[in-house]
Amino acid sequence: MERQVQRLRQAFRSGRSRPLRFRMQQLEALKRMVQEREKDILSAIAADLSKSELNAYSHEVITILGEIDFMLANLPELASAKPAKKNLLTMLDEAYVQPEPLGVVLIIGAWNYPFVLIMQPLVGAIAAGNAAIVKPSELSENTAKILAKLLPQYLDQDLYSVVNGGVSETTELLKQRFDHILYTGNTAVGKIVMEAAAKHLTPVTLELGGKSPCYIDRDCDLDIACRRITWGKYMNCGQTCIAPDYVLCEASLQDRIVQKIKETVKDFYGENIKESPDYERIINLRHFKRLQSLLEGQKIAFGGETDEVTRYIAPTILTDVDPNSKVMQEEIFGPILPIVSVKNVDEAINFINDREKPLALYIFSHNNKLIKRVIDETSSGGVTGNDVIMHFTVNSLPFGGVGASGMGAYHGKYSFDTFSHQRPCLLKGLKGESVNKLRYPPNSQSKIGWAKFFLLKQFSRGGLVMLMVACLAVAAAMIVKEYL
Amino acid sequence: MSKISDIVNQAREAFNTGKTRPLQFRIQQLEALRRMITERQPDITAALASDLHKNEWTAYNEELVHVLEEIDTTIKKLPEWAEDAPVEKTQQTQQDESYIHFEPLGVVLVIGAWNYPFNLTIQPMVGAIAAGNAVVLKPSEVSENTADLLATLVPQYLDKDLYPVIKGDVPITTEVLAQRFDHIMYTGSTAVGKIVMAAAAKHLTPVTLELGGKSPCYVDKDCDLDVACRRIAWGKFMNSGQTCVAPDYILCDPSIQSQIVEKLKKSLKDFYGEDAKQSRDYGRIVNDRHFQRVIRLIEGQKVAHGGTWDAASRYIAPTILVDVDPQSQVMQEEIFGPVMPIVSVQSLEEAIKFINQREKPLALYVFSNNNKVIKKMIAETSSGGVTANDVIVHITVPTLPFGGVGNSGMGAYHGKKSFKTFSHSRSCLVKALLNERILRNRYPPSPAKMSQH
Repeated sequence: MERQVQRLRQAFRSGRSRPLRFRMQQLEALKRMVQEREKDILSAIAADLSKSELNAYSHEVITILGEIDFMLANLPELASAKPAKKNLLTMLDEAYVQPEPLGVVLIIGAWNYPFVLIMQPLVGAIAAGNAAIVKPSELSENTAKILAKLLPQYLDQDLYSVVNGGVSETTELLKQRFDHILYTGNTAVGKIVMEAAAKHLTPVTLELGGKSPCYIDRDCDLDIACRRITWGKYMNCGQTCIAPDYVLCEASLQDRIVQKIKETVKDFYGENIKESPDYERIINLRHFKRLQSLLEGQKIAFGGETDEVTRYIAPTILTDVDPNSKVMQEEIFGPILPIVSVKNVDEAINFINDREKPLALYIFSHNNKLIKRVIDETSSGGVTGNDVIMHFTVNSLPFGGVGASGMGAYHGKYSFDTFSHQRPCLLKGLKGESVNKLRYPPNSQSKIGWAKFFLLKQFSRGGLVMLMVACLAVAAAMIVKEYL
Repeated sequence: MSKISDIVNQAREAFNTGKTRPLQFRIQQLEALRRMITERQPDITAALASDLHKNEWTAYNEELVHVLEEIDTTIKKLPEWAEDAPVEKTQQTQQDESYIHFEPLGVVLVIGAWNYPFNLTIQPMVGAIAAGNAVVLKPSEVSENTADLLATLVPQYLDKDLYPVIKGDVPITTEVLAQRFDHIMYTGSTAVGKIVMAAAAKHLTPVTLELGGKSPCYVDKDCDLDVACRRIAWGKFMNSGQTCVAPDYILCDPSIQSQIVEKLKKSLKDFYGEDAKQSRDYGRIVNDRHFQRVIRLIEGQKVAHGGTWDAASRYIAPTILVDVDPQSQVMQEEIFGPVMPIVSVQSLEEAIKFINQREKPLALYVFSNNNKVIKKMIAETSSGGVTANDVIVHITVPTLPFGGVGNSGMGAYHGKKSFKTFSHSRSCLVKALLNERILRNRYPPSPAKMSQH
């Protein structure tokens, strides 16, 4: 594995990925791959998550195509030097921030959206000019295999590589030196990744998880709220890092919420949910059993049926949930929605703040002030008000966590920035040395006054006389520069 | 003295009261910090003099003026920086509010360094306060006088619970690092940077690490050597070479080596006189360990200037080494002292190759009249930052972020970047409970066949 990373590093050092033309060609190849091999990709995702190909397309593939198009359209602008505002001392100089590639990046994917969680970071890494190794999750085997098969057929094989395997391969990979690691997964492994990265001083982006709360206000259109929540909760059988994990609401709303979610589930998946092509399955037996145990001792208002053979768990709602019970201690990552009663929004805010910062937070209310208040008095990776999931789809919004839910962010321009070094550059001329005299020893008290003036004034404040003198000095310097 | 965990808990509780949320409060604290600097300048100067042989001029120009500028810029711009930042909408979200909301992280730990002990502890603190955090300060114990002074002064001017100062050496720092913070900002060495990041990993705490490296200084043949050497001498020998962005070594064509030596010598004489030991403006090495370390780097080298020292006062004369072997010790570690090796290279390409064979440095310098040379050097190397035709000054421009890359660090700060570093940029999409029709396409059941796309 060390040799593989070395090979990528050498290919990076050759400078091949620097020209924007090259990066765009790679992105175009990636786009062709997604379009030409759509069938293979969709059937791999479908096999891993018991998902319909249509849903695989709308959950994953469409996002990638959008991201590639964004990069192709915006790469010249993203990669360009950004001028910086100057002060009096640097007025005649060029000051800018130049984005540059980092080198070799490692992208570790997750199993729940196995295609997009590898591909979307990869698009950013390529756009920023890096070499990249992707390590798909072994739990979503079919997607891992198809990525290993397809990526080398379309992309430069020396710069971009796929490594497959389990814990031991990942551990081995994490021993190597990278210039950035982006990991999507759980908090426990996030710590292991960061610890490994620390040995090489490798910066990391960690997309983790948590319990994303969903507060439903009494002043709210419950029909619409419940439809949206049902959609976001049960998509991918609840295995979404930004699914609404649990609901907080006043006790008086609980029954109606249950009723409306029940109706919506019927609209979405029909009477016989098991037969619906739109309802997925739990990824493996371990997670299936974990979820089953969360149901123990709970008041099941709706759902609760499970079938181990097919790893089916029905869309389930729990009511009057005790905040200390197991289902409220860990990220559910399954089709179980606990409803916890709170007296009012104050209690909801306290409840949320007593816990780790989640990846997402949801508030449903007609009252915009209340929404803003909840945002102000809590923290989370991101927020959607009056819907769920959707902030993820706005690619001008950075997607990432905070605290236990992660660090760093990506999507769109933020992907490009994450995989770049923003290098500040100040280009001066070898003239105008007189201005520098202030800074050279031997010191004198009067020099401090002048230094104060030049550094602290940015075309504002200061006496008019001082400003005029400065302008004259600067004009003189400009004339000298111009004509010498 | 309270236990470390009590101090940190107290800061967290103070943060949780919400009192740092209003901008007014943060600005008041920054104004108090400003007063602390202007009112107690003599005390601060005295501490810096004891620690590093600085005087009121060097203390002001090299440390205080930059902190004051940071405070002034921050106070002025905070309302603008803290505002919600709207973002471009997508087709589906035209009717919605989409913006980034900046919020404090919580309790931030700032670990200072000893070489600019006031600036490197307080300047990060400015950004952390502005972003609305509680801030635990851990000044470097190596610059003890400044650490003692900060422990006395900061509680006199700032909120005692929100901004505690913790003093102490390695065991104390280790205990501090075992606590949970919401961001850790560390300035110092690569080795300790790894330790800080490993400790942070246990709590998933994001870090900003301002480390170091060997900042190369390429001097082109086509260049005004008088000006170049004056600027290089200034940046190299300030604070007796103990500057993280000092030009560490020179790369140049052998044909200009002796001219460079002569011109550096001349500037040194202008700056510090015949005997730098007598100059008020020339610093001293911070402690015996570093003194011994730097002396050893001179061993076996060809000394073109300087090469003398006095252990009692930890004085090392401004020293220039020529014909330096890239394999020798002085070229293996960050010098952090007043010793300037000159290494010969035959061409710009060779200089670029030399630089790329080594770890990415914190700063890179290139001197040339030829803009193409400068642009090529920048394009074909990497470093935290660059100044062309001068040294150091890119870090004094508040609109340029200051930070490293690779071994020289991660993350950045200064000015607005500080505010961002110590904030969480929270993505917010606020919709209305209307227009449900538009969303119909996303809901199951899916159509029998996939439509053409």
